[in-house]
Parts: sequence; C-alpha cells; structure tokens
Amino acid sequence: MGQVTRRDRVPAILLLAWSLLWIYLTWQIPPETIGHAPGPRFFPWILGIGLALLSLWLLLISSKSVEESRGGEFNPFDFKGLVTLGLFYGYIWLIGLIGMRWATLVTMPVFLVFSFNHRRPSRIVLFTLILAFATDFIFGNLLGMALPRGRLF
Amino acid sequence: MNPLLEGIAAAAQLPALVANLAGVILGILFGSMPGLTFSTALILVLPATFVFDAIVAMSLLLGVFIGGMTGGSVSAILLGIPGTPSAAATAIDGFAMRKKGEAGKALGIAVIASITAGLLSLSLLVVIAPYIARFALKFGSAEIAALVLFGLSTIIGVSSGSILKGLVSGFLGLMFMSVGLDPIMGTHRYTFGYPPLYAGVDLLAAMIGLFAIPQIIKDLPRGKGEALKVDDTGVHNELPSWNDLKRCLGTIVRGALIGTGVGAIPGTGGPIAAFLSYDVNKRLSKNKKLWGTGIMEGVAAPEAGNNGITGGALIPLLTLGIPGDPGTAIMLGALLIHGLQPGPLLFQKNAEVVYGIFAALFIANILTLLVQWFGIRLFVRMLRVPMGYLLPVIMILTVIGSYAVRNNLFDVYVMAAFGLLGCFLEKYKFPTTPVILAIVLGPALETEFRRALIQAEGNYLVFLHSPIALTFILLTLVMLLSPFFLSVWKRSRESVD
Repeated sequence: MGQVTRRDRVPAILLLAWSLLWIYLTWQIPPETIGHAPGPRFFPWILGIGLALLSLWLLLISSKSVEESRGGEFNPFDFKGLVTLGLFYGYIWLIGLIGMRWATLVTMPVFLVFSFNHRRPSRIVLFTLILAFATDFIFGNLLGMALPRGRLF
Repeated sequence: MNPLLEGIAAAAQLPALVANLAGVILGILFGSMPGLTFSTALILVLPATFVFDAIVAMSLLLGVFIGGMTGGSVSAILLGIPGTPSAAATAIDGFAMRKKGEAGKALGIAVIASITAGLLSLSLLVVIAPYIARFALKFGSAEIAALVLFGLSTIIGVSSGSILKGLVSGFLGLMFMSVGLDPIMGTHRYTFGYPPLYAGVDLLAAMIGLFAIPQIIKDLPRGKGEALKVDDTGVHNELPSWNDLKRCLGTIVRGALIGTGVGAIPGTGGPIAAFLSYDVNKRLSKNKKLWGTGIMEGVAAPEAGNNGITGGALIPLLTLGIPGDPGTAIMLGALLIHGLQPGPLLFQKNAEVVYGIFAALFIANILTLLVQWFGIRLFVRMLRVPMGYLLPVIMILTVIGSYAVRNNLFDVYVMAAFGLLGCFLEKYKFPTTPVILAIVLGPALETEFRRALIQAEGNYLVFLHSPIALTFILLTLVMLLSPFFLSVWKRSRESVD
C-alpha cells in the first residue's frame, strides 16, 4: 500500500464530506443513556469526529506533498474496470428481476466477451450453460442452499 | 464422552475429512496461482459452510488455510512469482534451484519444511492455548474492551506504507458496523426506517465485497485467455536425502518457532515470518554466501516460517477472540456464524469444538503433504488455466455467498457496495485489511466498552483501575506510537552515520 501523495487530496475531500454527513446523521440518534454511561450516540460521534480529523490530516499532508504517483499502477476505474463493474451491478439487478439462472444465461456471454476477452462463440455458449446449470446443481441440489429468485420468475 | 475424544472423532468423520481434503485442494490451487489469494478462497467457501456443522465447516476452512500457505511455494519455485506474499522469500532460492534443474528437490523440501513446521506450530498451540484461555477467564467487560482495542491497534501492523491510511480504513470499518440497532439499548442508528438495515451490515457480505470484487477487477487485464507459461517437464516432488534433511532440520525447527511466535502477535502474518526466518537462518548459517544461489536451506527457512504461523495465529484467535490477519478474521467470522464465540469461554463451553479444530488442523497438514506430494503435476497444469475461466466462477460465487447469509438480496447489494468501496480503497492505496479487522472487532469493542461503563456508573477510570485493562491500553499506546519512535530513531541513526 502506498505513501500519501498529491492525488490523495481527492479521497481526503470525499472522506471529509462523508464524515461530516456521518456527524449530521449521528445528531439524529436519540440521546438516551443508562445512568451516566455513554448512550448509542457516543461511539458514532467519536468515529465521525475521528474520521474528520484524519481526513483533514490526509488533506494537509497530500496538499503539501509534491510527489505524484507514477503511471502504470492498478486503476480499477479505467474503462474496462468501470464497464465490468457496471455489468456486474446490472447482473445483480437482473437477478432480482428474473432470478440467478436466467440472469447468468443472459449476462454471462456479455461478461465473457467484454471483460474476459473470450472470442469463440462455441466456448462462450458452452461455458455460460455450464456456469448457469452447474451453479444450480451444486449449490441448489447438492448443498441444498437457496439461490436468488427473481420477482418475475 | 470426553471432549478431547469427541473433538477428534468429529474431525475424523467422513464429512469432515472430505471437507478438509476439498479445502486443501482449493487452498493449494488459490495459493499457487499468482493473483489469487487463499483469503479469497476462504471468503468464497465460507457461505458453503452454513449447511455444515461447526467442525466440518472449520475443517474446510483450515484445509484452505494450510493448503493456501503451502501452495504459494509452487509458483514461487517454478515461475519465480510467489503465489502468496508469504512465498516471496521462497522464490529467492527456490527459483534459483529451478534454474539449476533442481525444481523437484526444491518442491520436495518446501512441502516437507511446511508440514513439519505446521505440525510443530500445532503442538505449541495445543500446549499454550489452554493456559492463556484459563488466564483470560478473569477478564470482565473493561478488560475485554481494552483487549479488543489492542486487537484493533494491530491495524498499524497491517498498514504497510501509510499508517494514516490504515487508520482511515479502520475508522470506515467501525462506522459501517455502527449501522443497525444499538447493541445495548436497541436504538435505531442510520436505519432510515428501512427494515433490512435493522440487523446491520452483514460481516460476510462486506468481506466478500471487499476482497473478491477488487480481485476480479484487478485480474481483468489477464483475462484475455492468456495462461501462465509453465514448463512442467521434469517437475515432480523429490524426497530430500537423509543428509539433506539433517542439514535442514535446524533451519526448519528455527523457522517453525519464529513462525509460531510471529503468528501469535496480531497484525504480523506470513510474509514477516517467512522473511524473518530466512534472515535469521541465513545469519546463523555457516554458508552465508551460498544463500540466494539456490540452496535447500534457503527454501526450507521461509516455508517453515510461513507455515509456522498457522498454529501461532490460532492462539490469539481461539483464546482471546483476536484475529491477527485476514485469514484468521475470516475464520473468526465463520465461528461467529456458527454461534461460537472464540475466547476463553470457548474452551469451557465448547471444548469439543476446540479439540476438533486442533485435530482438523493436524489432518489438514497431513492431507496437504499427501495432496501436494502426489498432485504436484496437476497443480502445475492448473497454473495454465486462464483467468478468463476462473474469474467468472469467482464472480458467481460472490453473489451466491452473499445471498446465502440470510437468503436476502439486500446482502448481495451490500456486497456490491463494499466491492465498490474496495475498488476505491485499492485505487488510492488504502489497505483493506483494517476495514475487515474493524468490522470483526468493532461490535465487541462498543458493547464491552459501554457495558464496562454502565457497571462502573460512568466512571471512565474503570479502565485504569484494572491492571489487565491498563496493560492492554499501554500496549495499544506502544503499538500506535511505535512507528513514530521508530522513524525518529532511524533518522537519528542516519544523522549519526
């Protein structure tokens, strides 16, 4: 994991905003206590204030830092990463709609072509079918686990 | 029935043996594939353990743990690329031996050193753990809160690079665990009147998202169907000669002791143990100059060190409920899911489970020896399976795993949200292990802290009146301030030089 660099200003600002939102939401928790002991607000308060201070510290150090991170590092939010994440969230949404088996049958070929760079149609079809039905068989039948069902079917 | 016999019998039953074997195979596979980690394998198999009883579940997880620790050496020796960070030190002499045409010897001594160290470490666990557990029975809420705080301070140890970023990750983890009903008074916190949030963020769904989703995204560029180019001609495990074994025995024992000691300190882990063992053994060696050129001791030392932690890491986990690394944090989660609270009471109330875990650990070591010995060529072939086939399987398992928690799609959404958080943390190089530690330990910290204060009628000095609590608080301060003092010391040394 890396040292603090100039580009850490972005997460510092986001974390600061998050901690302020957290402090505001903590304000909404009823101030109940037992005796003189701290109530349900106490712990979240400390966390909100602690994170706000740490974010400010991060912002300060990263603003002073002149070192920029070098290129070629892992960026999950490059084009391929973003589209794959988008597809994954689409897949989860589809599971809620049509269930796991059908969602896998519909979306897996897209994943295989775009994210995993498979090109041979026969392999894509075969692998999709195996994944969809083997999942059902192993987890649903052999292990007796419940698999997500959709609202439609 | 005697709890000892009951535990051993449970771990030796067919379902537990099959689970252990499956775990070992999966562990070696995930451990040996560069890019995949056995922590990911642990996370992915965890949901499948819901349908098993505690011992079968732990057999599966311990199989993955031991198999993963050992499997990292395969790609380290054959490719010079460590399958796990713990195997990085093995690559130094292991790959050099491979280049000299001694891959079989290197693989042989690696597996023998790993298993010997694993068994030695287990023996120490069996001897030491009950004493610590007996002592920990004296702990009340104040002591437990201080202990958990110390456990959380290990975030410093797992935040290589930037401690500030590690602390931020830890705070984020603690925040997410505050969501839901307050543990003492049942007050709603950040639930927005949405019923699925009442039970809070599920530990397992969060862990799956944090570990597996960034892993999939990280490995995407390799998903082109390209497999690792592994030449398996002449690859086999070769039994070390009696003279070789005699030469390596001291190295293995030292490595096992170092590994157990390092593993027992929360926040350390395999890579530190492996490199420390390599370094200490090299210093003590008569042939220092040969280290790094491809000698058997150079493979035995790190492998013994990294497998030595397997028993050591279970000491704080089982006796105090403190996980020291992602692997043991996941196992703590598994025990909690099965209604077992690791800590001193586990030794009293569920002694058969503790002995079952010891027996399962022993069996996992033996199975790893057999599987890696006889299946080495198969695992080498598995290294050729393109990521393009493995990653879609992992992706589907993330959904099944998070859904299986409560048969609720909400947990799948939680997993997906934590996946996004994991990618964000990866992008800006924030460590994710502190989030996991905070998620696992956070609820206990808040509950015991407030309980102690309720008992003391709001007197905060309760934490200073107890010598045990005070000791843990001081240790926490030492842990938090040590990087600062270390850097000051280093600077003063540099200025003197």
